[in-house]
Amino acid sequence: MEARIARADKNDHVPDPPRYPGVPRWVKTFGIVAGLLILLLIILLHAGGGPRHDNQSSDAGGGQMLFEADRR
Amino acid sequence: MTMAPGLRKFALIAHIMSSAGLLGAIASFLALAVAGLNSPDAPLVRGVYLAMELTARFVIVPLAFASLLTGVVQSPGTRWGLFRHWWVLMKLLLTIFATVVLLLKMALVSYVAGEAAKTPLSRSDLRQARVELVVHAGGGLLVLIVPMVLSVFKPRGLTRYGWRKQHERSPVLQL
Repeated sequence: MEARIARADKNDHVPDPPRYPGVPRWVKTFGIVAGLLILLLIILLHAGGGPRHDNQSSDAGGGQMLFEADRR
Repeated sequence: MTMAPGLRKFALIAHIMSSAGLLGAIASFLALAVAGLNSPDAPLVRGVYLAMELTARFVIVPLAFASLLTGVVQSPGTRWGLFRHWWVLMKLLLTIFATVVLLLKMALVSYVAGEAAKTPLSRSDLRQARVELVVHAGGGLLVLIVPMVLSVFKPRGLTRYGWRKQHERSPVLQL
């Protein structure tokens, strides 16, 4: 029994933990697609002018917004 | 962290119910938004925007928080954890993103509903705001379909934290 423990101690060295393999490819692809979509949305909102949001008060439903320029 | 099997099942059911309910509620919201944008019938348009505000405030927002909360509570009790696997982390980030955008857009929903309650809206009134409601409802629906797909496929990949945790345990297991 003691001999077995001694042998185990001699051979027992903790190996270095393996290196992190990195971010999976699907996460990178997902990130790129999400980034592009957000960028596209921002460009579209700015190119379209977007509604003017002038918060005047903050009632329970959020601020009252003025879209008077939008109302014809 | 371990969770009793009964409690884990209960949390999972609550999470699935709130997430699926949220998806259904947003689909209804989108249908209403499209009807409100295209219908020439002023009383219908008025009813649509009032219904949209009620749905958003009393169904969509509570379900969004329930989905987020039940997910956060339930996941550490499973072998997947909350920050260990990329697919779980992605689901969390997407749900947070959708909830934040929803809260930001609540003011717009209330504003259009308020205007619709005051005066009959013609097809050109508040056009941009009404288009924005359709776009955000459609976008929200698409964003929330992704977590559903991730839950089914559970694509591989540990985060750096998950990797470290896994290899912290393995020397003990080797002895």
